[in-house]
Amino acid sequence: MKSPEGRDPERPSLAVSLGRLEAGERAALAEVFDHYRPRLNHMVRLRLDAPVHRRVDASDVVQESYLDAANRLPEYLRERKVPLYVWLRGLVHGRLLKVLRHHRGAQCRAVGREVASPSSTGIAEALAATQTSPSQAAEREERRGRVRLALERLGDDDRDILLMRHFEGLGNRDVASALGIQASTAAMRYGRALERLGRMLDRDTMASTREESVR
Amino acid sequence: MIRDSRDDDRSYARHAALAEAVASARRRGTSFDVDAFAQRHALEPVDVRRQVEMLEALDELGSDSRSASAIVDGGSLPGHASEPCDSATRTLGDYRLLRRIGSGGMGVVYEAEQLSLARRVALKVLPHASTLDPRRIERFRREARAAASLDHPHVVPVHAVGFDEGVHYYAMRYVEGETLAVRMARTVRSAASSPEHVRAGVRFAGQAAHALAHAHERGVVHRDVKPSNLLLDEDDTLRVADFGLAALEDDSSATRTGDVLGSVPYLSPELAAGRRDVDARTDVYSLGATLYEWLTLEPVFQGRDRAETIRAIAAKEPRSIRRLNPGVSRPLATIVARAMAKRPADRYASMRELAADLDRFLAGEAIVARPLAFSERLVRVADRHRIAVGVGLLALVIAMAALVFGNAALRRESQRADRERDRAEAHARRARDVVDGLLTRVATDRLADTPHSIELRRELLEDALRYYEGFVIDASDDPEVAREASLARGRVGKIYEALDRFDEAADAYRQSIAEHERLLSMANPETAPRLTQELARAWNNLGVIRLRSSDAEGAIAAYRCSVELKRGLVEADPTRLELRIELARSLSNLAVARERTGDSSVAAKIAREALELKERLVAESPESGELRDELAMAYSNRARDAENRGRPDAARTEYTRAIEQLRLAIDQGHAPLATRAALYGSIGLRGTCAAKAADWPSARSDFDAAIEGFTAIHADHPTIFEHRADLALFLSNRGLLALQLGDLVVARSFVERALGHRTAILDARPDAPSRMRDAAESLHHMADILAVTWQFDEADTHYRRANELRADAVRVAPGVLRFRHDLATGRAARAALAERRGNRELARDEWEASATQFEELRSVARENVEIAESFAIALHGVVRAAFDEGRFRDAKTALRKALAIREELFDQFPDDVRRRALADIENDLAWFLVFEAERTRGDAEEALALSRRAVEHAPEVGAYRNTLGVAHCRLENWGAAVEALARSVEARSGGDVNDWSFLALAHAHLGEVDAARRWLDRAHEAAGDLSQEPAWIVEALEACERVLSAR
Repeated sequence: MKSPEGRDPERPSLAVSLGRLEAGERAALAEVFDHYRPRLNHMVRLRLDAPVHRRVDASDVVQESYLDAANRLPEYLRERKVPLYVWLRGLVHGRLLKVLRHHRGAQCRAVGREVASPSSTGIAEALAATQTSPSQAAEREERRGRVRLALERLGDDDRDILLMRHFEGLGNRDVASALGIQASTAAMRYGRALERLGRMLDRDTMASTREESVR
Repeated sequence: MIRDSRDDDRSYARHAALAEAVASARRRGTSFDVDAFAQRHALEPVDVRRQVEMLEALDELGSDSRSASAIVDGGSLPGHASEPCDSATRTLGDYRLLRRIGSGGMGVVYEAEQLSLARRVALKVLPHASTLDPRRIERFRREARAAASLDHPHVVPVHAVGFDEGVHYYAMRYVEGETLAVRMARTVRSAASSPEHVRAGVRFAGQAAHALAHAHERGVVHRDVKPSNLLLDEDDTLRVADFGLAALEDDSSATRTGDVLGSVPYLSPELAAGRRDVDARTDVYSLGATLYEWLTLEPVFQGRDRAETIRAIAAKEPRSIRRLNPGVSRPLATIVARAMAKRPADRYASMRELAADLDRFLAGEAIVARPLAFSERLVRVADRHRIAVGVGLLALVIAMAALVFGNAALRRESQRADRERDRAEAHARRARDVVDGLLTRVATDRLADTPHSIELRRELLEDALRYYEGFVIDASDDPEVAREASLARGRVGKIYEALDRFDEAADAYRQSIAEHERLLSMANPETAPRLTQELARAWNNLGVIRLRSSDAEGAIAAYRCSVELKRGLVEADPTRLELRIELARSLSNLAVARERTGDSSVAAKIAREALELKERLVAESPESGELRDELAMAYSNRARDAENRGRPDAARTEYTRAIEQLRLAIDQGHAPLATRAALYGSIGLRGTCAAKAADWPSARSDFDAAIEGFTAIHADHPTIFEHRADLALFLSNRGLLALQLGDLVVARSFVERALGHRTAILDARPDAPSRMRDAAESLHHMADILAVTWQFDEADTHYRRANELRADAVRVAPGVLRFRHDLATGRAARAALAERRGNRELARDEWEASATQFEELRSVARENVEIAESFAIALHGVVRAAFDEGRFRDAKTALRKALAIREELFDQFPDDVRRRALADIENDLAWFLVFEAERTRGDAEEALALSRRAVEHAPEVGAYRNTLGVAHCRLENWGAAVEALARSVEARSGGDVNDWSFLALAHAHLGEVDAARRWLDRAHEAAGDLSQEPAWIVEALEACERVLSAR
């Protein structure tokens, strides 16, 4: 094994770890969890509000969930209702809700904001951090901007499902098991979210055309 | 059009199907056939194309967000099925990333190709720049450059340090091989005790030691020596990597999870304790720990979590290396133990010495290091105290144990002969230093921030108290010992203060003052300045405690003593910075205390002096965060002063200055809890001023920022009630702002939260008048909201409860104007509500009580605008109550008082609001003089003059012209009356019966019969049943008819 510089011993492959986990070797959980960690971090970051973001580190949320996962692993292995990643994601999501509740606390309840809503600022921050390459066409850039704006204005449920599908890269089945609904229902909700996003875009386009004609 | 829900479902299904088809085409790498899809689903191709574009945009956004997240994480996102992250095509500046070879808390390592030189490098890419403190980046670059200059066979050469596309990177030579960590992981336990394994470890450690010694001698300390930073190439030659990277890590990154967890076992005790001023000996420890692990194949300490490991590093001795590995000889165990000594002073003095001992060991020579002696004993002391907090506290507890011991020794020895005295004194001073250190450290934020430390802090303080009480009893006649005892008394005061026991604290300070004054009276010129300075401090401390227990007068007296003494000292020696700081501090304190008693002008003068002094000090030492903190305090005080003088804009400017200084101070690393609280406090108070200046958006954002800040502080320090009180204040203000903007639901929720906090605080301190005041304020606000939502009974109850609390506060602290002002205001509010509900008696009583109280207040604080305004309002209430009950003389008296105040206020602040308020009073009084008073000619002339002024002050108000016209009628200036009344009719779009009846009268007197009749008819028509009309209308109409019939 050649490794010029690394802090950890080379990671075993996911398949091996999963196999060991399936065989009931609990120590393999750490390896599997590490494997999914960046993806879980990303999921959390998409849903952190700017003010909370400053105090909460996504990786802390994810790390805390690791303990949840370790505690509840036997239960999971017994039942195996959902795919492993979806299960881990659910734990992280639950932990995130707790953290958000703690940080936003009573204020949120007071103004009646949905605590669990994915945060558009989180999305915006993640996007702002992106390096832009000069080769990207201006038109695409503009379209993306409009889609992003429309996404921010979408209802929480609709936005969440689009985040899962297009930002987190979950498939329909995964979304269904994450939400605890039938695959057909998940597909329907996905379709509905897309339609609403489309309508939101149409409305924006019309609005901006009208503005231009006034000038 | 009615849409069937099945239509919806079909449309959704179509959208989903399109999305899946597009995704699957992309996965296969084929292009999606828009037309075919459109045809199959009977859709317009253009619509489908738009959908596809939207889906593409979504996917692009998603992948952007993933790579953004990956940059934050410092790695790619594996495990994403549809889009494997291909780092192979990524470049960073001159480097093409080939493959990821490792990751950690401080970035990802890639194997990369440096394009310009076509060479293979290991490229470490650090987390996204925005997540790092710029000063740390700067330090990193400096250290990395220093590391790049190292040229040693056992150091991995650093090629470049750079910044590109928003990330910092660090390029070093690519070393084929593996890390020491990997090698250890591969070693079978049974091989550990073999002589080969032991010797290999010593050889590696020796190579690392030489490399590190080379670096140390060039001023580069690694600070993160650990097995995964030690690389072994194909020839088993060791090279040290990652010099300079530790500069990026600090406490916060060390608390992050992941890789740093792995490095915890190698942290030196001083790094674990959070110290920054570590030297090369930290590397000695870490290398020792690495060697220990190699020899035992177990980490030195392995706690369940990071905190436990850190505690172990500080408190525990490692398990015997020879018991774990019998293959380790005694000299080698000694080398490791010496390298890993808890105290840096007990370790090898340099890495070179460690390297030399390792070389000697390998050569079979005798080593230089001697086994450690005392560490075990210290460890047991620590275990006995079972500290559950940080290492910092642990050190204190060890110190405490030593101190209790030392104190007993001191007592015995102080009974001995004179020659022993010096030693005793030395003991006392040492003991005192320890307790002082304890006090300052316990008081500092870093410990206070540690969870669970509050109880411990209290225990430690009480321990310290017991120690000092014991010491004070031992005081002797010797002046020097007496001085120490007096100072100890003062410290007892400090401890009581920290324990919130104000009375005992004040007693202690007074005793210390008395003793120091006695000592000063017999001091020589040499010792006098020092005694004076200590005495001045004691006075200042007494002032602080008095102000905290709401004795502003007592505080002023104490601060003045302190200021006088300090002035003398500064004059005698203007070069001493610390004296000037202390003088400025006492001046500020004095100004604050003056302000509390309502002596605003004196306070402002003193505050200015303090401010100028502090500005000079900051200009002289701009790098001192502490001085900036002081200066910020002065700005805040000025801001508060401006606020009290009704100049919110000036106050905002001052708060902004304060905020700027506080931010700078915090940036400069001066960020104790008090400073952070001051920052949020200033932001919140600036919001209050913004609200006063009707700048709602600024107010809102400031309040929200303050609430956020204080919520965090309160969550971390739930027992520090001052910050909870601040939180409540800004919640309250935020609620009031919402009320102002008409958002009752939001207003109520904020006010309720504020009330909840304030009630809790009051429960904890039922005798504190300022807490009574706070709770009363919130009750009052709740009452306001209830009144607006027509819940009158509840509103009245809330006002009453608020006023009861305020009356209590006035009883406890009658000298504080603020409390009396609040009570008077509260009664006025209750009166206004009663008036609104038609409860005349209650309204009258409350208005009168309120007005009486305001009058008293005004007699002591004439220049206070708020009091003047409130007094005028209360007087108006009194007028209405008197008028309702027909007590015209009382009404007139009250009106005259109100007029005097309004004139004064308009003089001072000639703005629209005050102009209208003045005109109102002028008109009201004029009207009273015309109709309700004795109707002397003098009254009528005064009425005319008043109504003229009212019209002049508010020409836009038609009703004032009516009063003017009527006043002219009273003086029989009929022509002028007609003119004024006609203007009134014009201004009031046709006027009303008040105009018409007097117009008729005036025209009648002027002999213009037709006009008189026309107005008379109109007035009659409007009035209808005359018995329902006010007396003056009836009177005017009757007089008019008399005149007409006489003609």
